[in-house]
Amino acid sequence: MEPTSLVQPPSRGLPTGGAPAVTEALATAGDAGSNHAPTCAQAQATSDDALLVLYANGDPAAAAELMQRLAPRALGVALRVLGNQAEAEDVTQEAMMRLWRMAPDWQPGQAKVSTWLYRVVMNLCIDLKRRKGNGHVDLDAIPEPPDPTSSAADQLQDLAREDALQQALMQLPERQRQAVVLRHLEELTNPEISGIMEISVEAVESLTARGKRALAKHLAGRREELGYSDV
Amino acid sequence: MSEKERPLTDLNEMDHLEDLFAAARSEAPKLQTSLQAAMMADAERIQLDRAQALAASGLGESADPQGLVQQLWQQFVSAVGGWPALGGLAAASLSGLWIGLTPPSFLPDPVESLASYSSGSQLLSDLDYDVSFLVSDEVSE
Repeated sequence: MEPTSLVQPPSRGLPTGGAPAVTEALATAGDAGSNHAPTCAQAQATSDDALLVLYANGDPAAAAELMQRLAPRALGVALRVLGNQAEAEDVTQEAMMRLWRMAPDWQPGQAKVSTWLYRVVMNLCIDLKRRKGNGHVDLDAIPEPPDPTSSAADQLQDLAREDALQQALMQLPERQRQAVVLRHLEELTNPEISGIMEISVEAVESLTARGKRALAKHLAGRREELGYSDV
Repeated sequence: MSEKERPLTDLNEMDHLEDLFAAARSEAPKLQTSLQAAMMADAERIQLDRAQALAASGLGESADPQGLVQQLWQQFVSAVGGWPALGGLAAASLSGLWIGLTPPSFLPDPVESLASYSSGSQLLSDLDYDVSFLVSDEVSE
């Protein structure tokens, strides 16, 4: 996909790579006491920061570990915001590509890699929506309702609830949807969301509150269908 | 309106919503194999490009004669005290040249005095004196 929105890393002008950067990053991760050369054998206990520096310094395994940690979260958010699997995968791949590209400029300890990635994903989602046209709801974005005649009733009800949530999310305005997804599905704090969406904490609170009310309203008529009628 | 002031039905709706959020959180999306492969291919390609660019820039520095000139110039600049000192040196040089070409009125014009000295009869007489002195010395010997 064609990138149209650039999100800058937290700082620029860092000398590329080098052992000091790795040491600093590993120290951030709590591995400063180790005298061994940093390899991805330590990756499980290594911070995202350190992995990114390792990747920038040519460690081939660091990319795999970073991808396993970050890409599912990026995909999850993109999927919820866009409501379309193929588009969400495109956005995830593009966001990860930008992560690989900016790795040499990353300054460990200044920001969270995941926060940076969420911001890129959100901007890519906005760009994609703008290109497709405001207010357009993709029919593929709305999941098919489950077949109520199936014998696996419980599973279907779970599926129905999730689909219902996604359908309701797709009815929200773009920014409300982003705020609700980050707050209630990714469980980020309001200051983190504020940094990702580049708005004030008060604006985040307002968006999530309005978003939740709108979701509740959309879902109110489906209580029985979703198995909440007995409450 | 605060949560406590809301009607019971609203609060129930919010509870249902929380249940839906919790269910959605438990369903972590799985990366397709093809997507994983594409992302790893991107990562490896960018890593390789960067390694090649770094290697090329390292080779270029050692083989480039312009790099040597630049290095010598930088050594000169640091030897005279850095760019501020070099700026002062340049300013002083230009001021000297300017004063030399167009001196203030209270200073003698060096060009004029040199011209008057070299074109006057005194120079010729001095020369005549030196020549006659030398000639007389040779004759007496």
